[in-house]
Amino acid sequence: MDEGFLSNVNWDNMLEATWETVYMSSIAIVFTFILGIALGLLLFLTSRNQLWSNPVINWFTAAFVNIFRSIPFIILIILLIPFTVAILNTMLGPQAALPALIIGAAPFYARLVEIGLREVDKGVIEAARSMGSNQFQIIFKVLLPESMPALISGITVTSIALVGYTAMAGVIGAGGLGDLAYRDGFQRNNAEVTLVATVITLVIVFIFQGIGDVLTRKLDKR
Amino acid sequence: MMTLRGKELRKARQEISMIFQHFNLLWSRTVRQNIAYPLEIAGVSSAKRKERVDELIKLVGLEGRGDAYPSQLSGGQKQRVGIARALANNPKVLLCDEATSALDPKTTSQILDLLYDINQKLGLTIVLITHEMHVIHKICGRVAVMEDGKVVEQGAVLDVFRNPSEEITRAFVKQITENDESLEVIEDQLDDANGTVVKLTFVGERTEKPFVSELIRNVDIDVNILQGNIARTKDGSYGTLFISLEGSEEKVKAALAS
Repeated sequence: MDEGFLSNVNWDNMLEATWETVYMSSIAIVFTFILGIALGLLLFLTSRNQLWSNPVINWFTAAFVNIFRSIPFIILIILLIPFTVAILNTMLGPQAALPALIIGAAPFYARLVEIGLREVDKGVIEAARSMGSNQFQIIFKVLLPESMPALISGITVTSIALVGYTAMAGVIGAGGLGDLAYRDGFQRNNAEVTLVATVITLVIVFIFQGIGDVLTRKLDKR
Repeated sequence: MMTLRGKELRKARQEISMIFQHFNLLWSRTVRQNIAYPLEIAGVSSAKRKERVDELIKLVGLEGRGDAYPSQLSGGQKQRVGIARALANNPKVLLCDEATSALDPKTTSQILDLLYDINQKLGLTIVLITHEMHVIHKICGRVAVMEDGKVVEQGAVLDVFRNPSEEITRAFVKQITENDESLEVIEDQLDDANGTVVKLTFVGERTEKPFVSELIRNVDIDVNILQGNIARTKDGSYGTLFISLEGSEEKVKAALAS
């Protein structure tokens, strides 16, 4: 077996695991973006002196966000197994990791969204209202476009955390690079697999970060 | 206006436009898109929008800058975008909330010229909220003075500035007719001067008459001009003049009588 550097790596498995990680991360990022913005908007708009100012809804949203943000991800996955089985009819494969990934990451992202929305100039909202904008227009034509660079840099940070989460999702049989590194690399004592899996994970992270940076710079006209 | 709610209120808001001290433009939109915003809100079709935006850009003198972002514009240009945006839906009233307070004096005067122009061309009412007296001078027809949230005095600019009846109005009007510095100078001169110091106030046509030389010709007296100031408003000028009369007591009396 030992015929040189990296000869112990099964490249077919590695490619499949890479694909699983990219798949899990990408889908989770898309849903986290949508759910996180919805939650973040709710947090922002129901807070004091805002459009939908409502202490009760604000309190419940904040409680929901804080609870799911505080549960360690590895425990969250286990807690969500019944939920995952209920909606996907399985708890195996990359898809089964998605509910946990999204529910773990969206509350974190929601807080970043809330911070981004707070940065939007109050005067601009006042101006939009003075021109007769309704609430829908204020949200989609003012709040979201004006905070877009912050929303994008926030999802970039979140997506990197998500790549990390996918590694842990291996425990419920989700596959991916983390799972491969753990089973082939650690349990079979094959350090080369661990090394390659780590390098590929880093490359994925750098690519996500790069895309995020370019988008943020492009969108930021301030 | 106060009893309107929801949809009707938003509709009514389109008849009254506002421009702001800090411009409040959407920085994620270009000049064109900023001006188009109120048209989008009013549901104007995109072809008509484009046409109207071109018209407005021309009106406020921003030709060629349509695709720039607000961060690439100077303060004066930003306010021009604000004005174009405010005019987009042909409002009946344009409300200017300290619109020139964040601008330098030269730009302020250009923006005021533009506002006056628009007022003449489009015939809409412009309400200016400001603490800068020279702004009122320059373009306003009528003025109302507010204190503690209530209107304490109002009338034609010339009348109010000439005969301020409230304490606060007097304090404001002083800003242009006599500043503190000039008062100090006069106080200094009061000590030195051996004659009688008189404060003269001119209004309207009388401002332009050669009052002093007439005085000297009619009454044989020495007149020493200490300090003077003339302010122009849209409807005429007015001013104050401090002079010191030197001569015998009767002559001074005679001079004062004229």
